[in-house]
Amino acid sequence: MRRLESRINTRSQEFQTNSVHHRGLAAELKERQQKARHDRPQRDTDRLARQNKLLARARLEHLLDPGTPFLEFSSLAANMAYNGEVPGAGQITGIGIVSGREVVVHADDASVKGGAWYPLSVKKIVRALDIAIENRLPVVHLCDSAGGFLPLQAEFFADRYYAGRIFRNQSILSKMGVPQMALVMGHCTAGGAYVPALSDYNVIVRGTGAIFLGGPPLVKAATGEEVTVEDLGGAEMHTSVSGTADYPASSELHAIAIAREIVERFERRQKTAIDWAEPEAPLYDPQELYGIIPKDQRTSFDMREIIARIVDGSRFHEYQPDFGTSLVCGYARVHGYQVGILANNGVLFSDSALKGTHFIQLCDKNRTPLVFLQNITGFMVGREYERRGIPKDGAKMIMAVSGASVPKFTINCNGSFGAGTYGMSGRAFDPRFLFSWPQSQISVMGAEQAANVLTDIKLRQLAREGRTLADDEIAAIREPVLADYRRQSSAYYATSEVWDDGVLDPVDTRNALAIAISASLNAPIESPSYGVFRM
Amino acid sequence: MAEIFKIDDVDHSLWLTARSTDGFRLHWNGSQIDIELLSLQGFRHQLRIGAETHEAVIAAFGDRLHIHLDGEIYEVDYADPVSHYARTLGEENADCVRAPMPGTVVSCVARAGDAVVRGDALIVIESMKLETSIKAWRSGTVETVHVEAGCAFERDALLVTLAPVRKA
Repeated sequence: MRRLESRINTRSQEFQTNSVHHRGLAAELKERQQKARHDRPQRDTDRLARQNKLLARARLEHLLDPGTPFLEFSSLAANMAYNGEVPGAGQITGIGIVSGREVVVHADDASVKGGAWYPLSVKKIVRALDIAIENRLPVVHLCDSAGGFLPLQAEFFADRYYAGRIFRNQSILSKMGVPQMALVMGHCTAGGAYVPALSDYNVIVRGTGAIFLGGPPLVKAATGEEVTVEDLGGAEMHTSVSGTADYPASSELHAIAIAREIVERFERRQKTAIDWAEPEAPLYDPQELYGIIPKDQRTSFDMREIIARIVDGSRFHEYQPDFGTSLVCGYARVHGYQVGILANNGVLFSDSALKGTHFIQLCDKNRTPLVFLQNITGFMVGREYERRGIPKDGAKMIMAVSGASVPKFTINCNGSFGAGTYGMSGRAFDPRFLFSWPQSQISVMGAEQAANVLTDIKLRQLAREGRTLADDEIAAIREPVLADYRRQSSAYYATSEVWDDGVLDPVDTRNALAIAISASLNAPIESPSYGVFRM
Repeated sequence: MAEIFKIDDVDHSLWLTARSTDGFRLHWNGSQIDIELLSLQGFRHQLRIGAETHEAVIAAFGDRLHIHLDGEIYEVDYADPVSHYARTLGEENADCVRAPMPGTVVSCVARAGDAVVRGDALIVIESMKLETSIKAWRSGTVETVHVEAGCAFERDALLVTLAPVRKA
């Protein structure tokens, strides 16, 4: 396959300026992640030490195979919620290797609010289990939670994708024959009791682990009965009397050793075979990505330059290079796996949407996973385009994206706006994984446009009443809208709300994609089948 | 299809097939010669061609190799067939650029008469909230800038023309 030929001048002033800017953003990302992962109030770490408990990340280190990668999801979940007091939403989730098996890990972080489940904690756990279902990955749960955060119960209890979904997903995994292993290293109270109970195997640590539907204070309030934690739901009782737990462990490390031995017994299934060749590093240095992404988010750039720094040997077979050129489509390899890439080089026109639709179907027939590299302001608007049927052609692309059976992977490289988000496999279209780059934005339209639309509506409303607004009054309407919009369209807001699976340093994209593709091949790929394409 | 290697600026078309073991088989004037390259240390390699063995120092960047062999230095470019035959199309020699979409001109960077190098910005346009700089697709001299800052244009409007390349 041909190599892409870069046209970037790495010595230009523009490249250097971009490079400094984006290296800064990557450093800021690392710092935010470092804080979310490790900065904890002293009293919380002291309490865990007193209880003889390891920190959640130390548990993970013992659990995972040495020297293997861990693809963490949504490490900055809740970074803009709850006054920033619940880093990572108090949960660690990701794909790691345990006893040679690719598994999803879900760990309560008891150093954050005692591991209490906030609304975004629940969303993050449900998402991790959705990933397990879609990709048929076994799950290891490390349980240590104070239970649901009651003041916010209305936001995590009753609805379809709220806490009940965790237990529903666990049951579905078991039904699908995908095993789960739970390690009870702290309290599993109320709903939390079902996490180990619904796992195929579980281990409970003597002294610190406990499982009960109602803890001692609740029991006392309900029936007046006075009972100790150990007696009510400790390791001894559950492994010898109730049978809710399988294996007693004398320490956390003992529990992890038992868990690793059990995971090693899990059936090793044949992965789905897709086209694969010996991997090759990109010819162009991925570090150059920092200099290619413009400093100004609105400035366009050639996505081929990005592709050249992500794919094997910087090789790319471009499909229909001269048609619908605002959408670049073509084949490449990522760590050996053949993928079909769709990348935006401008706004989507009818011809680019048609080309994308055709290419998605080619990849689907060919069993080639799809990678969407988003930098999209939307579909073209205007009289001429509506008359030529731009909504109809966009609908074809959305139909193809929704219906494709091969796994999809989406990266928001710079911007994802309006219907462009849909055509380019946004969150609602079930890409197996979706990651964002630090500078990227996502919203229904740009901040400026939204502010203009809203001010315009207000002005017309007032005009009907025969009133007008002075410039400073208009600014008073515009400014708050702009500020709100900018905040809520940032990558950090998107990841805070778990609209993606995490923010990626651009240079890590290649490895993250490879882990994601490898994980996706644990599930079979169904035969291609689509709905009706409006012609 | 034969592979094309440019050795010191001369194209050589060679038939190579992969062997079941390591290395390749070169089909040359009706005979077949086994070729194998063993990596020694750093840039040093042992090259086996049929029964002969040579020592060579090879440095590679992408598909370009610099080879020091038996006291001579060679520059070898590998061109995969698609790019090799595409070159004859000469698409890079077009003289004008047209608007990829309707929009407005933000600024004109280049003026008629300016000498530009491939990749230099010519004009900056804005369309659908996106700023795009129209860059020189080849080196040359700007003949005409057909638009000016602030003006609106339709798709396919002529934006910039470079002076035609004189055929040698």
